[in-house]
Amino acid sequence: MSRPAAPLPQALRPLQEVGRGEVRPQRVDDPHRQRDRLLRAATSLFGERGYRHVTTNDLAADAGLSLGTVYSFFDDKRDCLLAAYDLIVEEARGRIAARIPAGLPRRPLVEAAIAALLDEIAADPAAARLVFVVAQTAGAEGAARHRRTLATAGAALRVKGAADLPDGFEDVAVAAAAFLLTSSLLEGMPDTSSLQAELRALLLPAPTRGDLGPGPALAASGHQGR
Amino acid sequence: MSAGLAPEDADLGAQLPRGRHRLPRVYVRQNQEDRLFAATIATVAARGYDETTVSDIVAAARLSRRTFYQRFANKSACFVATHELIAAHLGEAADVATAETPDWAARTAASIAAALAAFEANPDLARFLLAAPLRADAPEPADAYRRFLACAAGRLCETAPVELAASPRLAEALLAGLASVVVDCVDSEGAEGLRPLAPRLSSWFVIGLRQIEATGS
Repeated sequence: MSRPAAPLPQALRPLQEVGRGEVRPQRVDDPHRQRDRLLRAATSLFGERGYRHVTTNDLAADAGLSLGTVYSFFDDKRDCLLAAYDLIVEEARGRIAARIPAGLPRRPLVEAAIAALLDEIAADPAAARLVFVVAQTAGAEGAARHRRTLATAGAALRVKGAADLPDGFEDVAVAAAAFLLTSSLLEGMPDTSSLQAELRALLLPAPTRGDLGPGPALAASGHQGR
Repeated sequence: MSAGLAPEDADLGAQLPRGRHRLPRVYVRQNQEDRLFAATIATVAARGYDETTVSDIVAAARLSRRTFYQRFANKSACFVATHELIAAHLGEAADVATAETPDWAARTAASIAAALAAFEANPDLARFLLAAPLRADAPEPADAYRRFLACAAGRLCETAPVELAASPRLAEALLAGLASVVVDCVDSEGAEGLRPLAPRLSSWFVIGLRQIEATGS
């Protein structure tokens, strides 16, 4: 197989030609796009293989970059995973928010948010696994990211406050919902319709409770919140 | 309680005298086993599962690797056995706490309070049982955690009023939600914050079950 002669690197060309003619590949492949490629590689590799079974070499190879370039953007693979996490969460949040009309009351709002979240998961299961399964396993910072995301979701639910839920229940409900998502993603591709029903059950206050009044068990527990 | 779940057991003081002593063999073996479990709990709670090695565990327990491998095939077997030991202890503590309590809601509250009392006596139990499995990059700890949740949810719902017979999956998720609050509390406030949490946790569990049931899942 005959290959065309490799073009001389700029540094080895006659001086008057340096910086002329074709654009150097490094300039086409600007750092933003390289970083973006790397984060996409990180999303699919970490999402598919988990944290431990991905190396910075894998990330470099998948993104078509040198190891040196990887290290010019990130300190180590954890740093890269965290950056991918932040990007996924930020973009997904933006898309989910864009799909929810302003001024919705709590119930339709939470329902719309659940539907949008499940669509996000179905559209990119590897990204979902990175967020709900893998990040927690990537040391203290990964666990902290997970906690922060749950806290943000709990606070969002609280803002839309349902007076009939006890103080702090939102955080339990959000953590329970996150656990369901983690388990479903670990088991494979989740069944969206049953997940949707389960998330609604956890995140939405029961509509009929006010009509029924507290049941015997609840009354006996003596801790209805306020 | 046979095996050592108290934090002091990981201290050097628990090690038996070196050289010749007249302690019965069965006592020595029990002491070694206690130290092995206590060291596993302390080490995994401090470093996490992935960062813990068998060498770390035997060093903390002041035992030989040989003793470790006589008892466990590997780190994950040791983790799973330790996880089951803690879960069994919480089950027994709940049995004792609910022995004379027929009312379901009161039983739930007493079981949760009993678990929190154990976590208060040694917060590493909460870190090991509830936090480490989800942070481990390996399937065995996560599976052990899910078995624990299924068993605990089964116990709590066993005697629940018929109208609260939620889907087991959701009851387990609800428990995982409570566990997450416990872990946050241990991480941020330490063991002191646990006891005041007890009434809120059981109220959240009862309310969560009612909510699930009423939503029709």
